[in-house]
Amino acid sequence: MGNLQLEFSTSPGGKTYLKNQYAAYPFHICKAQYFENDPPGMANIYIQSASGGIYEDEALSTNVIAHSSSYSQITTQASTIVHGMPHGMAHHSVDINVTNHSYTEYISDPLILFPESKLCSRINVFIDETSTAVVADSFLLHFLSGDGRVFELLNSSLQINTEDTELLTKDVYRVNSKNFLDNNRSYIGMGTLYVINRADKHQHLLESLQSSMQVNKDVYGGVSYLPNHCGLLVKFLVKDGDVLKKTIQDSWIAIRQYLVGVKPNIRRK
Amino acid sequence: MMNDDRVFTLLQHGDSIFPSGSVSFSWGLEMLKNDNLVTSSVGVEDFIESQLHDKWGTFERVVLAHCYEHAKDLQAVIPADNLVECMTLPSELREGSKRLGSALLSTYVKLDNPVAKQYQAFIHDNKAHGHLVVSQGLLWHSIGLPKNPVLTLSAYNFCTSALSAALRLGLISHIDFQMTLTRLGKSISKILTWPVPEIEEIHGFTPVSDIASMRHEKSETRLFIN
Repeated sequence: MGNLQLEFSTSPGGKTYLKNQYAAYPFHICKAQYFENDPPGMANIYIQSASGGIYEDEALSTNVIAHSSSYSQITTQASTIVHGMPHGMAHHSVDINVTNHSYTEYISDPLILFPESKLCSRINVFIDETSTAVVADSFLLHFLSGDGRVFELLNSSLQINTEDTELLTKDVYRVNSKNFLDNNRSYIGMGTLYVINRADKHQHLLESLQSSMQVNKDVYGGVSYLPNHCGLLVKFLVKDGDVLKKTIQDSWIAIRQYLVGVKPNIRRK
Repeated sequence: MMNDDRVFTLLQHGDSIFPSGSVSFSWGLEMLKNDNLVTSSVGVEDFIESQLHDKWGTFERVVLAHCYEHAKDLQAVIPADNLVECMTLPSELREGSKRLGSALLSTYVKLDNPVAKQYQAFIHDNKAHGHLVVSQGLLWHSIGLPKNPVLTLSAYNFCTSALSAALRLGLISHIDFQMTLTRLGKSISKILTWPVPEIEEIHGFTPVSDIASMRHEKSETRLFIN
């Protein structure tokens, strides 16, 4: 079972660092990186995979803990291919704990769902009233030339809970070719961003993101308040992968600029 | 088989003239029309079919059945109401569901229904939300309707409400309305044969209409609440 554990804390000088880390195959991480135009001391971690994707019957888990006024971003090096699985399925779970005035972003690149792939994806966020989390979750269907087969199933669950495990929001869906693909293959991917913060309504951010989605003719997207005053939801459908990545990136930049006050540099991958 | 009294009750409480408040809801259809994603009776039928298969059947039907079965213990229904709140992500759909549920409860309070009075008190005390399917399960149990007719009535009400919105949006004719409803009835019959899972298993996947509802929040030309 592949396992990645990251714990972020803050040095007396205010710099965020990895207090604890553990990465078992197929996960691999390098040391924390620090970029211009990030919040002071923000640690950036790139998750890499040594295996080239997610395979049949794999069970992968990631556990992120951010506390002590830390600033962190966790992102993937590239999209994650979910390979074909003629018999079984794969499981991927992510737990994110953000407390004590901390800010963390979990911005994963899209899951690429190959023909006959079957994945159960679960993300659990635990957050207190002083902290903020931004989570991006997305998938894109992949079609092989001359092959009529498509992905089989994506069971996705994202839960937002208080630090005491009280449920605030639960986004659960089961996607298959029948309920997602129409005859024209109008949409082949979907992106979702969750801006999780319980202290503020963020009305200006809501209106700004709503306007962006209205004018973006390459996607069909919308923005809304999450239940129980825990933040915002951005959801959009796309016709191709480049648009999916660009829209996630543009939305992330707008969210970061609003929350932190500085436009971040685009991540090189 | 239902006896004649129960058939009469079902007809009375399922009648479109019964004050349920759903007349001002389009369930995302208004925005889908404005965005040119639903432009014909075929599109309307596809929209409602997808709502039945990927939301009503997998989410609302399960909550409704759960609340019906626990209707004698209102405290046991509150967690289901909270779960619907947590899992209805677009705010217009969430607020609309509560508004419809509260409207239904208010009508039954005026009809002197004791269950409606008790549950409305929970809402006033901020102990419950009163989502539509929760209210339907409680109230229709309280008037003596059997479970399967309750499930059918809920699906029927959703279909006629959405079709009425489509009619007023100029997407379908009165004849389209009836022909579509007949076909949807067959889908509902099939969905009613699905096993009812545990309430923790509920899920839904209707991204196009969810997004339409989210876009509707910013729409300047609105006939409907959602």
